[in-house]
Order: sequence, then structure tokens, then C-alpha cells
Amino acid sequence: MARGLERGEDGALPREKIRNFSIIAHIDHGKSTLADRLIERTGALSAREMREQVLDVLELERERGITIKLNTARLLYTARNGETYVLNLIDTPGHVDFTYEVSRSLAACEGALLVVDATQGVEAQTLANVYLALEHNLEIVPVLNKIDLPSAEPERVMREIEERIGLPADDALLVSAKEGIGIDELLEAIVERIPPPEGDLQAPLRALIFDSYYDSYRGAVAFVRVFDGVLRPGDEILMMAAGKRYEVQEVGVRTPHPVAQEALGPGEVGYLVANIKEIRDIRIGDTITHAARQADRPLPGYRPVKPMVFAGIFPVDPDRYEDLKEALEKLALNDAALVFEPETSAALGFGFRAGFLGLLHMEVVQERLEREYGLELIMTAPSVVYHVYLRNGERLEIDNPAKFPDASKIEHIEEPYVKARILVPAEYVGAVMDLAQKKRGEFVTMEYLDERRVELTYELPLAEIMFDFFDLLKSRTRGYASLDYEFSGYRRSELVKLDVLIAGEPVDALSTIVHRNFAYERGRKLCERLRDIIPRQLFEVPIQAAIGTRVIARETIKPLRKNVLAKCYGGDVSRKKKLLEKQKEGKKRLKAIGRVEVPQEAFLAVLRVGEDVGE
Amino acid sequence: MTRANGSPREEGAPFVHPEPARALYIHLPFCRARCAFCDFPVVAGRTVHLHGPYVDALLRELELLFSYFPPDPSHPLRTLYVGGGTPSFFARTEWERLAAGIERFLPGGLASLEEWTVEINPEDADPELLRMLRAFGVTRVSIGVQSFDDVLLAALGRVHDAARAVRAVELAADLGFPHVSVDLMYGLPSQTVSAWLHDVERALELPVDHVSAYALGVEPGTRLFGELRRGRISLPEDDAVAEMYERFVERAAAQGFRRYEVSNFARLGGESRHNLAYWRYEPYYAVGLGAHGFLQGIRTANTRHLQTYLRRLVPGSRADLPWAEVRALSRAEAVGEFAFLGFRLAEGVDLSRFRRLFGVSFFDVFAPTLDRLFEAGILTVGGGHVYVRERWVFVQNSFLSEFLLA
Repeated sequence: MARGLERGEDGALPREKIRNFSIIAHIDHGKSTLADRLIERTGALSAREMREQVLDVLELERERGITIKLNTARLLYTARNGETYVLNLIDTPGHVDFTYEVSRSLAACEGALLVVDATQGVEAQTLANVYLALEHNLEIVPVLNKIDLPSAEPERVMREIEERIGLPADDALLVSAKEGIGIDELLEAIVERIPPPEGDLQAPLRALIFDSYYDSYRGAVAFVRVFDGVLRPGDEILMMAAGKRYEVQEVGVRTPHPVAQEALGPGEVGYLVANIKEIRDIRIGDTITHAARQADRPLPGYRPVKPMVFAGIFPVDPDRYEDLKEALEKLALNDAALVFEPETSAALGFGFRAGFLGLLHMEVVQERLEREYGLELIMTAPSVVYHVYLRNGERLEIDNPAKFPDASKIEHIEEPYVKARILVPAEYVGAVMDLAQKKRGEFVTMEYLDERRVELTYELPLAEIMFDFFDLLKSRTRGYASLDYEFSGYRRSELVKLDVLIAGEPVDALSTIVHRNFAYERGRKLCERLRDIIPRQLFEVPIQAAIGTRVIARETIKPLRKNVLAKCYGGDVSRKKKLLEKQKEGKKRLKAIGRVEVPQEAFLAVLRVGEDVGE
Repeated sequence: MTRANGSPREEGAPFVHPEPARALYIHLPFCRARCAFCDFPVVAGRTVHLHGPYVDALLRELELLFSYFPPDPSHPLRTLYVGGGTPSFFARTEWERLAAGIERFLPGGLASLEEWTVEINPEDADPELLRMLRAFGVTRVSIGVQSFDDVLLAALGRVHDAARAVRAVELAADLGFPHVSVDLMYGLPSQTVSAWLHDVERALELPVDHVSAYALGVEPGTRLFGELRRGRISLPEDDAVAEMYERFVERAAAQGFRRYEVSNFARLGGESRHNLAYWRYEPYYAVGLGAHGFLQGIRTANTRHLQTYLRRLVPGSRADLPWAEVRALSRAEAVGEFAFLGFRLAEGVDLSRFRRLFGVSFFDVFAPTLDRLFEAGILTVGGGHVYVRERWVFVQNSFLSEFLLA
């Protein structure tokens, strides 16, 4: 390799010259800008190649300022001591839906830069990832970003880091990624403070898969971190959890351009091409070993990725079912967490039931389908996976309220709970506790981070979080609270299926599972909301909420009385025609249920009805 | 200018209207002041000096139009409609030039017209003007009463008051116009149903054989639009407006006025033949600022800009038709227009006429839509027509869009 860093005859790089690290940061705290700056300063990309935020791949991510897809970059840095080092920057996603992916990326590192906005302070999501990093024994280098801003309060934020995470405040680096301040000091700190990787060159191969992507020419490509042994083209490898064998075609590193290498040795991070057809065949967290000389046991921490949230996706125009199918297949090529299967709804026709890691993941998929594939979609309200125990002893896993068995057959139901960590200014603790209580939360702990900030931990049903918990949390704390959660287990709950009838017709896509105590209130709110969303029709439209055959709430949409252009002036028909054309266009966004035309928003209305329940 | 008709089954094929145009619309755009609800092509203020050049341009346009689309000698013009603007505000000497000018284009003269309507504002309706129009051969005056509520009239920017309106109507009747119509508006700012019904009673007891009642539509760019947006005025709810309409239909019927179109009511024989041509999908000539014509299946719209209009129609050989938009309809477009215009009429869509114009059956073209609307009881068939049942007239836009194919 260039600049005096050579592979040995064994194919390995000197381990003491490698540093593997990731960046932990809250959304907007400047992770991407900092990554850009590091890449730029180490000359990995020429100025011409330098784009803003090079590590964030997708347009959508760029717009939202969040990273969904991971990526890596190998930087060559000549330190002040004259030695050249390989710095592997492993990017991590910044959202609660991707905790497992973050943990696998962190497992590939020895250190992490904790980037905190000096004008803001630590957020819950950041904390959660710091805890993850600490669990993996990473060396954490605190970095205060945006110190050039007049509103920066480095002392306060450093104290917060010190009190909360126990990192000495003196060690924090002061940086402005935007202005390029403190970048050289940061690179030195990476070399000096983050330990080089360990590993046994002679031991059987063990390499951790921490990410993957799909390349239309080369198939699925894995990102790996080698712990022991050496990985070479031509090797026959075994994926230990998946139990699949492949022949390695190419190994290499990203700079961030892909550059092929003769080998990857202990401590190295790179990519692997092995004629792997589907992204699903590469399981994040899996361990790669040699088929001929297998490791005794895999690296720890593997967990199959399991979608937590399911929703129906239907094309507004039924003729576009095939287009939707194709688009989902394409997205799934690069997104192993996205699963889907055909679903038929009596109300919405043919579509798909899709599973997602969480709500953000779902939103991202929806936006990509609409934006990149030009589809108009109806998404049903997301559902968690319920465990339904029948009287005959059977246990069903149900992710679609429409598929719930008859209440008389059900012995009991369990629903997923999460452990939710909420960071909130002290003055809002009462409001948050009140909200968590109303959302069936179970108090676990309360801790003061300092005199102003409190960390609350609750056990909460995931279904309640999907409703409107986050929105309400934000509104009750004027946006100051932050939330992080992880799956904690299944619990028995008193749940009932709430059905909706429009003009006497049950609409399967509007059914929801709710706690028995909330059923009446939710039913009433849902009817009211649908009454407001569904435009007036030519006929009176009753809207009912029912549990089984029992109607618990009813609203009526009065028939439309005026929809006519009074005057066609002086033979000018164009105005009337334009109006009718507009109405025709508008109708395309409506779904006919019986003879009632229902707009798309209605199917998400169930999500927004919890708003003032109990308030 | 001639166009070839496409095969009857091809939707994208051009539509060529086979009938000769027998209606002529003439637009006189000048007004004293622009009304608060008006977004029509009008020119407000002191414009008398422009009336003369405007007549020259109009007659030039008519000459060009008739040379491109010659009237059929065996089917001469039947109706003439002079609208505005405010035709009654037009300088009287220019009126005389205009009438004489039109006369020259009519082989049988103005007297051969079956109907000639002129729009009149109450404040202009003095005996001299009305006698002059009567002498030209005008058979019908349409008087812009709008309301009998002086406060509302002022709010709309109208110049006249209720008393003046009543006198205008009575004078027109006394002077022997065979047909007198009044325009009313409802759904006006802060108007109540009972206030409207008061207007209705006053209108229906006047010596008229025709009433047009228009629900106010607030269009962008009008004064009302601005006032509404700034919250200075408020409009009645749609349900109240629907109530006004329904009550009016009832009261009008009780006084012998039949609803023959969404907004038009007439005693027997009082229907506007000219306006019926629009709704029955007959072709028509149109001249003047911003005027819309329909000839051989081509829809045209003239420029709304007066200077452009006058410049295009300079005397001499450089003159050109002042079209701003020209659209040659496809069969699919024409079929849709035929339907949504026809459904405005109480009589509905004329089935045999549809077949004559398009060579296919109305039922074949719109089978699924018609089935549904028949089944829902919205449409029905009678007298060789498909029509909208009374109850659904005021919500017809909810289903008419389904008749647009293109």
C-alpha cells in the first residue's frame, strides 16, 4: 500500500498501525460533516471527488440528515510521529430502529468518537449508543462539535458528559467540523487514544459481518472485520450462523472507493465478494470462518434480524400491484430487514403485508416507494406482532389485526413490551410520568443526570409507542424529551379487536387491536376522526366502531348538498372542465369502499386517535 | 377551414362538429367599475374613446371569422347574444354603428333573428336606450338585478339600488320586449336564507318570463376573494347555499317558472334559445374581447387584453383573428363535454343527437358509469334523454367528472 504501509508476507498489516473506530452522534449533531472533514483531511478523496456528506448514500438520508445505510472508509494518516496509520471509520446509523446494526458495527471497533453538539448536550439516543459502546469495551473519545457557534456551552456539555458517562472532561476535544477547527488534534487523538486491534494471525479465521449492500454486478457484498486469521480470494468460507459456504472472489477496502486487496488480516476492515446472490444470505452479526479450518465458536452477539412492526401496503390504483411488487423486491435487495408477502384486503384489494424494524424504517420504505418508484400508496396503520393463545392450546403469531381469530376461540393474548429510556428536563418529569402511565407504562427507574436533566425508564407496550407516544412526548415537553427503546419481552394483556364499519361494511384495513380499557374512547375518537377525514358523499354515511358484533361508537357523515358550478359564462366551458378534471384527479387518490370514497389518510387515522385519550 | 372526422371508435381521433353554427355571441367588455365578484374580461373606467375603435375591431373580427368559417346560407344565424361587460354602458352612437355593421353580415337582416338578447344594467335602463334597442330588433333583455338588498348591492360594487332595478324591469316590459329576464345572485356575503327568499319573492312578481339565479363563486383575483381571505367578509355555508337553491326551485315552480338548466328558470317559451345552444352542444360564433367560440369542433378563446385585441384587428390585410387559445377537440374530449354540458339541462343528454354527432350510442360509451348512476337513482331516462334527477342537480359535479374520458 501507499505511503510506507506494507503487507507482510503473511498478508497481514501490522496491527499496531490500525485503528478502528465509529462515530456516535445524535441526528443533527454533525456526524456526517465530521466524517467528511476526516476524509478530506487524510486525502482519501480528491477535492473534486469530495461531496458533502460522502458516507450517507441515499438521497433520503441526506435530506433527513440521518444515516440508515452503513458504510466504511479507510483513511491513511501520517501522524506527527512520522508513522503512517490505517484509520477505519465505520459509520453507524443514528436511529432507534437500528440498534442491533449499531451494536454490530461497534463490535467491529476498538474505539468511538462521541460527538456532542456543544450547543445542545447529550440526547437519549446518543446515550443508548454510548452504553452499547461501553458494553463492547470501546475507548470513547468525547468530541464537542459546533464550538464555533456563539450559543456553544462547552463547559456545561463537558460536565454533563463527565457526570453521566464518567469520561474526564479534560479529555474532550473541541471541534468545529463545519469550519475545520480541531481536526488535526482529533486525528492525533484517534491514533494515540484508541488502542490497536488484537487478533491471532495463526488462529482459524473469524471475521464479523457488520454490514452488507447489494451490487447489481457482483451480487451481495459483505462488510467484515477480521478478528483472527487471514481472508484471501479463493478461500472457501463458511457463514457459521447461516451455515452456507462460498468461494471468496475478491476482498478489498473502501477508501471510500472500493480497492481490491490481496488479503485482509487481523484487525482489518473491508469488503468481501463471494458470488452471494441475495442480501438475505448475508446475516448481519454472523461469523465467517474457513470451511476447511473452522473456528471452534463464532464471535458473540449474533441475533437474527426480526421485524417488529407490520403494515399493509396497497397501491391506490389496483393496476399498479405488479409495479409495487417489483419496487418492493428492488428495495429488499439492499435491505435485509424489509420482509413482505402478498396480502388481500376486502377493502383495499391486492397488496402486501410488510415487516419493518420500526416506524422510521417503515416511513423510509414508504417514502422511497412513493418517490423513487412514483407509486401512490395506501399504508394501513402499523401493527406489532401479537402472540395469540387459543383455547385448543395452539399459539399464533399475528401481525395483522384483520387476521385475528374470533374472540371466543382466544384463551389469552400477549403483546411485545419495550424498555423505554426517556431523557427529559426536570420540570417535565410530571408530565412525562403522567403520559407514560396513560399509555400503560410501568415505571422502572428515575435518575437525575444533573440538577436539570432526568432519565426515566419505563416498560411500555410497543403498540402504544407506535400510536402517538412520541408525538405526545414531544408536545408535552415542548420538544425537549428524547426517547430510546429496546424490545424487552412479551406480556399478557387484555386486548380486544376494534373493527370499523363504513356505511355498514366492515373495513378490514381499519381494524386495530386495543387495550380493553381504551376501546370505547378509541372507538369514539376514531369515528370522529374518520367523519372529519372522509369527504361528504352523495349519500349519508354512517361510521361505526364495533367490538365483535357490539357497536360501541357511531358518527354520521351528512350527505353532500352543494357541488356544482353555478354559471357557464358566455359559452366558456373551460372553467367547468378544469374543475371537473381536478375532481377527477382528486378521485384517483380516493379508494372506493362500497360506494364510499375514502381518502388515503383515513387508513392511518387509527394512529392519530390516541391524542387526547384520557387527557 | 375544414377538418376530417376520425373513426367513431377512436377516442384520440379528432372530433369535427358536423353542424353549422347558428348562434353568435358578441362581447362588449366596458363597465363603469368592476364588480367585487367579477373576473370576466372587462375594461372598467372611462373608456368612451375606445368604443369606436372597438366596434371597428369587432366588425373586422366578424368579417375574418365568417371568411374562415362561412355561415351556411341555408341555415342562417338564429340567435344573437350581446353580453359583457356592460353592453348598456356602451356609447349609443357606437351601438348604432355596431347594429348597422352586424346587419350587413346577416342575409335576412337583424329582423331575421329568432332571438336577440342584450344584457342591461338597471342604472342604464332609460326609455331612450330601451327604445333604441327595441328598434334595432332586440327581442330579449337580460337585466342584471343580482339582489334587492341595497346593502348587499353596495357590497358587490353594483351601481344601482333595488328601486332602480324594479323600474328597469317594468320599463322593459312596458316598451314591449317579448322576453325580459333578470339575473339574481345568492350565497352572498352574510346573506341568510330568509333574506334570499325575500329577494326571490320580489323577483318572481316582476313582469319577466325568465330568471337566472347564480350561486356566488368567489374567484381568485376578485375583490371578494381578497376580502374573504383577509376575513373581512364571510360566506354562507354550503348547506345554507344548497337550501337557498332548493327553496328557490320550489318558489319558482309555484310561480310558473320551470328550471330548465341548473341556474336558469323560465315560463313556458321564455327559455333562452341562445344559451340552450351552449348546453345542447351546438356550435357558435363568438367575437369580442375574451370571447369563447366553438366551431367545427374547435374551441377558441380570444385574448383578454384589450390593446392586443385592437392591434390584431387593425384595418387592412394584416389583421388576424385575436385567438389566445385554440383547441381542436378529440372525440374523447367532445364526448365528455357533450355529457357534462347536457346534464346541466333539465331535459338532459339527447340520446339521438349524441348518436348523430358521434356515431355511437351514449350507453355504449359510458356503460359502467351509467349503470352505477342509474342504480343509485341519480340518473334516469325519459323522452329520449338521460337526465339528472331533481334531487341530485346541485351535487352533479360529484359524478360528472366520471364522464370525462380524456
